[in-house]
Amino acid sequence: MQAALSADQVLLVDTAARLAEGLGCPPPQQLPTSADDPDGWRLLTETGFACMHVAESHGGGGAHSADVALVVEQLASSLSCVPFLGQGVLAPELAWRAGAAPEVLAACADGSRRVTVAFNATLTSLARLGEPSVAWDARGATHAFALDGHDRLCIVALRSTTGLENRLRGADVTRWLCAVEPDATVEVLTGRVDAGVLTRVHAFSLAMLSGDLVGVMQSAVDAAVRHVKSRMQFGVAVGTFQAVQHLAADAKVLLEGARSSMWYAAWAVDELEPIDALLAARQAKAYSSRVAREVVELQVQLFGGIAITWEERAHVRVRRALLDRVTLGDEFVHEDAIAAQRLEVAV
Amino acid sequence: MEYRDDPAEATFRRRLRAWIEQHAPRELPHDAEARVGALNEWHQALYRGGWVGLTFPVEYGGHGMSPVYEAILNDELGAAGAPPPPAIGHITNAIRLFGSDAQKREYLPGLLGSTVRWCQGFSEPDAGSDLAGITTRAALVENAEQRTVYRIDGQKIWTSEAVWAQWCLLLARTESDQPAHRALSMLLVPMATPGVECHEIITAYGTREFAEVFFDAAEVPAANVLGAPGDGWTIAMQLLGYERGPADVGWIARLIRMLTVLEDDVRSGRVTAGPSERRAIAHAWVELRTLQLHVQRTMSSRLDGSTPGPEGSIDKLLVTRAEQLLNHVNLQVRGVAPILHDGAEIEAYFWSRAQSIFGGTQQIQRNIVAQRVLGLPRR
Repeated sequence: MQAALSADQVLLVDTAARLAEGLGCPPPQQLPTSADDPDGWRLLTETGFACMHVAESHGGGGAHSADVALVVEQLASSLSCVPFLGQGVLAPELAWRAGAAPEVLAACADGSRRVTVAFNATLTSLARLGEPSVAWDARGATHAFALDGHDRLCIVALRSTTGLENRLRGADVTRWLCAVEPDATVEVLTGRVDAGVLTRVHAFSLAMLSGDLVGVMQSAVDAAVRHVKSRMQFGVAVGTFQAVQHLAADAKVLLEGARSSMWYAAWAVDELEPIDALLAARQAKAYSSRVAREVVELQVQLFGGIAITWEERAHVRVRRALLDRVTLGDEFVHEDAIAAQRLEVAV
Repeated sequence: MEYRDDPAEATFRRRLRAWIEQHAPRELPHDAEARVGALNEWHQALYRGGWVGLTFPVEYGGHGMSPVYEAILNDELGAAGAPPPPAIGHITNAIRLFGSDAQKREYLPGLLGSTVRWCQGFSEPDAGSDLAGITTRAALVENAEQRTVYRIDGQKIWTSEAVWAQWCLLLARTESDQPAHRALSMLLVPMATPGVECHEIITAYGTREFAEVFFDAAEVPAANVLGAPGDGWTIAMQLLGYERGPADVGWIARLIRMLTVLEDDVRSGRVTAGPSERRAIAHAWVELRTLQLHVQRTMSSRLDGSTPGPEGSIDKLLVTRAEQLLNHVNLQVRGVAPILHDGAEIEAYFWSRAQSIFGGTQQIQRNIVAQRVLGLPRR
């Protein structure tokens, strides 16, 4: 047993952290209003982080699922607005596993085609054509992947090439959501996708969302600790007060618990049978969804009044955590599923 | 990253599982004295089976294996519902690291073989979380027979199994002229020494595992000091977290077993659970799995032999969180039954409340995380 990062993984985290720093969220007054982000997206494709889990035979990087989650975490910890998770991770995974033609994936990997993933209107599952759906992490995307009524993979055109007209005013200011138009142009890419394949894609997606939540929590803890070390009241840094220290300690404990679960879930995707990988992923997503809200709220409390202003990034973390935690189901959705699986009566 | 056993670990686990199946007592007697006797026999059986001192150096009677095996031992015993292995990690390591050659020869065999039982006299009525504040004194004096001895006066509390122990590892104040952290020494005290007296503490849930120990001019030879006089604080600090990892693994396996029993009761219909109870059970499982995975991570980070750091407090806080939630869920799902029949459920519940008090309270653990992990300033 070696529940730890390998030397290669430590290097990868370091590289990703440096990239993430350059792609971090700008001050909230300067959040992107244009769908264009040519530089950010180019960096992700040039460094090979986009499509890194897709097999090399299909134009991807052939990386381990655990490695992808570590990169997702780093991008999230800088609150990056570059749509890495949707367009560089979740969409290519679905297309690759579903058996889309190599040229579809190659276009995603080299950045020439911008495709994200679409979810149903409650964000709890992959989009089914014919039902209201939402293109997730759609900034700069021209298309989204979805399934049709026969479980075939389809690509749907998002009406506007800029994505602006259909953009929803979502709570998360770092990730764009766009409504998929009912009369959008659709192209069927594959035959029926096997249920086991969809289970593995589900597990992968939950593990990666957990990685994003861990990144947001890391950012919250780091920022809050920096703040309480420098914020003076009564002539001392507020971080000297035990009442304040205990809030910070609680946040750290929850963050590390979430990280431990996320590592295992991300490892399990490539190592265990789909059903076991899914259970591990549900566990990580349930835990991280619950504690991420707790951690970003603790962060708000530690920042005090400044957290309630637009200019301070604290609200950006809260917003991202709120979207991540409901995407593909919050703790209650997964705990109900876990109960169904674990309490099932054997026949 | 690898969460599966390697071939050698898998073989060890298989062999161990078969041995437990054959040798572990199904249940321990309820009566305290009979229980201690049965535990002694169990620990001696473990020793004969070659399962004690797995990580301890071969030259001192151990097996010199990686801590992973200690974790597997604790995991398998916990999952099987077998009694835990002897909790001798801190005392054996204290003697190994700080003892003289003569002390190692004299005390280690009895400790490993569970033929001699030890207790640990650290906490005092006025020094629980504030261990440096202990007041039990041991003065170096010449006694009536012109021998140089430590004469001990004071009181210890929460001394586990003191009533049944032959020896006590005692933290006492010996160097009155030294600053606080150089004023303490670790003494090896026979419990049969005149002037040493034990009073049992009955716990809130009715068990008799703890005691108060009183010292009234109790004398031990000056040679019965571990390390040098004044080393007591250093030894205590190094040992308090010793082998926390493997013991945590065992405890977590027991908690998961408690949840599994509840799940079995629900599946079989012995206990009825609606949607909110089923969800609560899943919530408890989610928390326990996080705890289990986190402790595995902690163990992995220490495989290079590094001693536990302040991060161990994160593990302790996660144990508290999961265990207290599990017991709330257990009582919620079982409804009024445990309230009408005082028993194992109430005992486990009280124990979960103690989890945030012993071994450094939840508040002390938070101080450690805040100050020593996050680097927040002390006042």
